[in-house]
Formats: sequence, structure tokens, C-alpha cells
Amino acid sequence: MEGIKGAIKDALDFSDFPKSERIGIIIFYIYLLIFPWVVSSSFARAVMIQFLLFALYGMGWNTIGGYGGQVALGKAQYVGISAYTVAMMMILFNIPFWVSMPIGVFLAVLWSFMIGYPLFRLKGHYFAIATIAVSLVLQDIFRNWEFVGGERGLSLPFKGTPNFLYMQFKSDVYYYYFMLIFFTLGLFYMNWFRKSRLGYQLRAVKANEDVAASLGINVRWAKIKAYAIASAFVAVGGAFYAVYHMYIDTSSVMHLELSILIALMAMLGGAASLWGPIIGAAILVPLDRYLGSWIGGAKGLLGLDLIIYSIIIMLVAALEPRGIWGIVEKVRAKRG
Amino acid sequence: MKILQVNNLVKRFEGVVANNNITFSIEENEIVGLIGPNGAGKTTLFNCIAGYHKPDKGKIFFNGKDITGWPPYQTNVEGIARTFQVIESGGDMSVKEEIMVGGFCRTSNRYLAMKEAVEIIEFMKLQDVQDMKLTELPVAQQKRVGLARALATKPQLFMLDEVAAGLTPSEIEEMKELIVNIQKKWNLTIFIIEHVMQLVMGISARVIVLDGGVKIAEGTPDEVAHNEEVIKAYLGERYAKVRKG
Ligand SMILES: Nc1ncnc2c1ncn2[C@@H]1O[C@H](COP(=O)(O)OP(=O)(O)O)[C@@H](O)[C@H]1O
Ligand SMILES: [Mg+2]
Repeated sequence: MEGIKGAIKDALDFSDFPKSERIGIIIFYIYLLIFPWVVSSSFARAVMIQFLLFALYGMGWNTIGGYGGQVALGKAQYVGISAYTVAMMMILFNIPFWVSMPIGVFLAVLWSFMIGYPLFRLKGHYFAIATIAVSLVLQDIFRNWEFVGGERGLSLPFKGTPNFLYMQFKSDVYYYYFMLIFFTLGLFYMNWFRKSRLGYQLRAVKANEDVAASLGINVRWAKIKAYAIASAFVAVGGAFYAVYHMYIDTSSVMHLELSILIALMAMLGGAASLWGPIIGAAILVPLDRYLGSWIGGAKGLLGLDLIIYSIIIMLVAALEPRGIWGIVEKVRAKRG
Repeated sequence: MKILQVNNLVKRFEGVVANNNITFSIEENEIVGLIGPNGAGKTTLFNCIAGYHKPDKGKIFFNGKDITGWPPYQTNVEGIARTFQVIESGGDMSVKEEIMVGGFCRTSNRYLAMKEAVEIIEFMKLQDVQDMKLTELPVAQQKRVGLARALATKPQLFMLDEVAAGLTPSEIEEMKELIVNIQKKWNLTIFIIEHVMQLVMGISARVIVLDGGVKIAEGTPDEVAHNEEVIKAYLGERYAKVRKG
């Protein structure tokens, strides 16, 4: 009981941030709350929903990638597992979202243990490459698997009338608030996580694995746990993606580009910081969407987005490896 | 009561026998020194006990329990803590946070880990630097942080690898006092590798001497210092110097 109370207190307590920053965050959050009333453009709302979704993805990645320092580049497979679970369960058995989502998350977490256990024998770049390889294989399997729609992908059946059980609404405002709730829960979870035992232990693992082990940390197991948490986060997002878009295929929910984008959000904003993934998503998602609408289909064709991502990675690596939040902290330290 | 028993320990690396058939034991609440020239196999012995190396032969018992080949985190949870010859940085963590990580070995309660860290920080006189990073500190304080974070795991057996290396004579005196105080306050058993004779000969009840991977002597500091083979190996000269000066 004490433990739960302490955890809730930690989750709601942001007092270690300076007052000016806390005020800024509150203003931003109020804006998120009233956004659908202020802006009615469906394009802007779609961008905002995607921002919340990617912020959630990024927060999840931040556990293993940021705090744990293990550059996982296969997170899309967990988005996909959960999205496919939700879609298939609805198509085959008419099972509501609220039942299939937890099952999708569960399957993603289960898969993450099966992948994490062998993969965390590897370190550094070898681990990163292995995560890419595994997710590419899984994507290939799904693309060639007729049972789950193969190349054509899956369309979710329309229920006709708005339906909360199946998460089908006329207005995107509902989707927006659904994502906002999960974004908020994710944020509170991460605020607890960074102060938790596992949060501290992961930072020790990232700094030096031999020292971490000398402090009673089962290094491999700590990584596996964080990897599972990250997978649960992105799986929630994946389940949402399926009911929001009503259509999924491997290139929308399992593609390598999605995995890279998830990692990039957190790295650009600031890995191993609470606000990093949110800042990263706030920059990259609109950039991606508006670029897409300006130059249309040519974007993917030209590989322009990939070029931009590479430039961002190089800039972050060269200027401030701790991302934008790293710059904020430097400025804060200089002020005194 | 024997806290540590090592039987016929052998550890080979390509071409080198770093530990060759080493047998010894340590009693509870003892301070035992481990000395020998560079490359004698001292750190390797620590690594075998703490689980960083798997011995090729031999057995290690801790409190009567066979811990041979256990992984490092498990030997730590069991009650063995060690420091590293080179103190590794804690990345983006502050000194206080690093010590808290040690505390998290025994509790998942952050407030408890924090309370214990504060206690250790005061004992180690690290209050002024607790919010700084390890890499920003002078060597003497880095060594203290290394001790502090390992202590936070509440060990029974505390193994120190060259904590006085790189310290000034007055810092060495402080370190000597600190180790004795740590032993008293937490009632620990201490196993200490040290090149600085003034320190190790001053606080150890017994000293074990390694040379070329072999245990060549064991006894009180005085016995060891007068042992022919030890003098031959390297010690006599240095110890004589310390006694004179
Ligand atoms: N990880 C290792 N791989 C190969 N050789 C090693 C390793 N660790 C130690 N050695 C060798 O074992 C011998 C003993 O080294 P070490 O235990 O570090 O000595 P000491 O701590 O007494 O100076 C040395 O010859 C060293 O080169
Ligand atoms: Mg050594």
C-alpha cells in the first residue's frame, strides 16, 4: 500500500523542474486540452493526433533507448503486432477494441520477451542491427501471410453508427481525447519511471555495465524489462492506429522507417529526459506531415524525409548528443 | 566463522596463468591485505570471487555457500561488494544518484534508498560534491564515491582494489582512517588490494602475497615483511623504506 501511494506521489510530482519550466508545461497542456475547440481544421487535428501518438511511442522508446542506452530500432514490430491483433480480432470474431487492445499489448510484450532474451546477449551496435534484422523478418512474414491480408493489408469493418466499443466515431475529436488520455497516462508513468529503481538501474547500466553489476543489477534482465515496457507503450499506440485509420498494412505499422522515426523523436528531443520525446514529436510530426502535403507523393519518392532524418541525426550527434533538452539543461546550468 | 574460503583456484588467460592453485580463507570482521607486484594476479583473484571471471578450476565459498561461477550481480546480492581499480564514471548521474543506485540493490523504495544515500554521503564527507558528476571530481573524491556506492549495497565482504593509488600522502592517511572506520561502523570484513604499504601494512591483521599468480606467503604484516621469498619478490625494499621514513 505504501509503495503504491509513493508511486502515485512520484508520478504526479514534477517539483524537480524549475518553476518557469513547470509553468510552460502547464500552459502547453492547457492548450492540448482545449485544442479541438480552438482549431477545427481536420488536417491540423490529424497532425495533433499523430503528435500525441508519436509522443507516446517516443516515451516508450525512451525507457530502453534513452535511460537504458540500448538503441532499439525495431519498435515498429510491436506497433504492428498489436495493430494486427486488434484488426484480426475484429474482422474474424467481431471483438471490441477494449478487449482486443489489452490482448494486443499482451502479445507484443510476450514477443518482446522472446526477442529481448536472446538479443540482449548482444551489445551496442550489434544489438541495434539485430533489432532491425528481426523486425525486417517479421515484416516480411506478415507481408507474405495471406491470412493477415498479405500485401493488401487489412480493412476494419464499418459498424455504421458511432460505436464506443469499437472506437468508431464520426468526429476526430473523440480520437483526439482518447490519445490525450493515453499521452497523459504515459507521461505520468514516465515521471514515475525515471525516479524508480529500474529507472536508476538503467542509467547505471548505460554508464557502465560492470559497475552496474557490482551494484546488484542483473544487467540483462533490467534491459529485458525496459524493452518490454517500451513494447507495451508502442503497442497501445498500435492498437489505436488500427481503429483510427481503419486500415493497416505492413508498410504503415511495421516499416523500418517507423522504427527509426520512433527512436529519432526521442533522440532529437533528448534521450533519457522526460520531455525529450514530446519535444521531438512536436517538431518531427508536423515537419513530416506538412512536408508531405506540400510536395505530395514526391516526398517518399525522392527519399526527402529520409534525407531530412539523416541530417537531423548528424546534427544531434555533432551539436548536442543529449538533444534539444540537453541544450535547455545547459542554458539552465549557465544561469546558475 | 569463515566468511570466505577459496580452494585451489586456477584462472588462465591465453598464455598466462593469472591465478595458480590459490587457497586461503578470511574470517568474519577481519581486514586482510592482498599484495604483490604488478601483474601478480590480484585483480584477477577479485574478479573470480566477485564473478567477473569464471575460474578454470577450484571452488569459492561465501558463508559456506558455493558461489563459484556466480554472475557478478548475484555475488553482490549475496553480500560481496567490490570497488574497481579504475573508478568508472556514472554517466549522466550525480554522485548522490550513483550512491542511490547502490541502495536500490536492497530496496525498491526510493525514499529509503535516498535516506541511506544521505547517511553514507555524510559519513564519507561527500556533502559538498553530491550534486556533481564523478568525472568533475579530484581522484581522492572519486575513490570515496567508488567506496560509497559499493557500501550502499550493504555488503558483508568488502573488496577494495587499490583505493590509495594516485593519492597524496595526507590523503592516504585519511583513506586509511576511513577504511578502519567503515569496518567498525558496518562491522564488515575487508579484503584489500594495495600497493601503498603504509596503508595495507598498517590496517591488515593478515596479508596474503601473490607473485606470478602463485600465493607465496601469508601471515601478519610483520611475518610477511620478513619472509625471504616476499623480500625476493619485491616487498623488502619498499617496506624497509616505509619503516625508515
Ligand atoms: N581479461 C584478461 N585477459 C587476458 N589477460 C588478463 C586479463 N586480466 C588479467 N590478465 C593477465 O593476468 C595477469 C594478472 O593480472 P592482474 O590480475 O590484473 O594483476 P594485478 O592486479 O596483480 O596487477 C597479467 O599478466 C594480466 O596481463
Ligand atoms: Mg590490479
